[in-house]
Amino acid sequence: MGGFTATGETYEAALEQALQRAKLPKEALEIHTVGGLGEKIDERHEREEDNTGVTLHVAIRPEHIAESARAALLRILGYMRVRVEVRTVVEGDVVCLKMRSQESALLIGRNGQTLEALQHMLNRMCGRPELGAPFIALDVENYRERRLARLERLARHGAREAVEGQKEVELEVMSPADRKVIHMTLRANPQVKTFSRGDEGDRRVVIAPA
Amino acid sequence: MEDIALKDLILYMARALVDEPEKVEVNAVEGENSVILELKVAPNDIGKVIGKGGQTAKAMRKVLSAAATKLRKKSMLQIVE
Repeated sequence: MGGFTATGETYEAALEQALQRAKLPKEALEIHTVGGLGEKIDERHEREEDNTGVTLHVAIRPEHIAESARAALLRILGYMRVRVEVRTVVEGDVVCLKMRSQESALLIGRNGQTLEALQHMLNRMCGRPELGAPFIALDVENYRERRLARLERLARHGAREAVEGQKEVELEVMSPADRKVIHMTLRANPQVKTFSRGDEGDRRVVIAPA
Repeated sequence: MEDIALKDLILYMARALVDEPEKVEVNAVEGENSVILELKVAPNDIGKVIGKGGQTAKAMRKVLSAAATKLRKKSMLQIVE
């Protein structure tokens, strides 16, 4: 897990520094001493020993990020009058907000552009990457999973066509991220090679027999 | 549908991005088929609402246009100092 360190002559001073840097209440943070026995600073503090300086390792609780992102998302969608159910799932260094809505098509947008835009806004508004806080990922009814599956299917079909017809197969225009999925899917296939062609905005993956 | 709050939407997002939220202002000019929103922030906060390579402004416009779609309107967001 990411995080940052704060130091001070005393526990209070180190804590003060941590709180000022994070600009968050103590409850939003996970605070540990660095080194030592890994005991919680609170316990150590109670023993009132060692005044030679304290170093804290501080991480923002993923649950705090998840809750603030969820609140911001509900508020944005409230202004848009979109009814939505939002579930938060914390997965390692990613906080995922999973939405369900009658208006999922509006939330996704053409090629997922609206979903990407909402995700970008939430990370700008609620994310704290400079403090090692988790990334905020947004999904609607497993849209990302379904999209990934579709890209992999396109890649495999294209490869079969290229091999069987011994010709180049040009796929539809895709974003850099989507093109990468195609390249990665076929990287281990010795029968074909892949490359991209065209200018950004009209750039496509080409699958050719190896 | 009329109570879709485009102005409040932009105000809320912009205030969450900047260091001086009290200086954020949004003016809306509504036409028959379009709405123009003018976003004003403190000079030091311009970079925050535009973002690296204009990414944040682009994302805000995208969210705004999704909201405007529900009103069957075209939207435009102008960022001014």
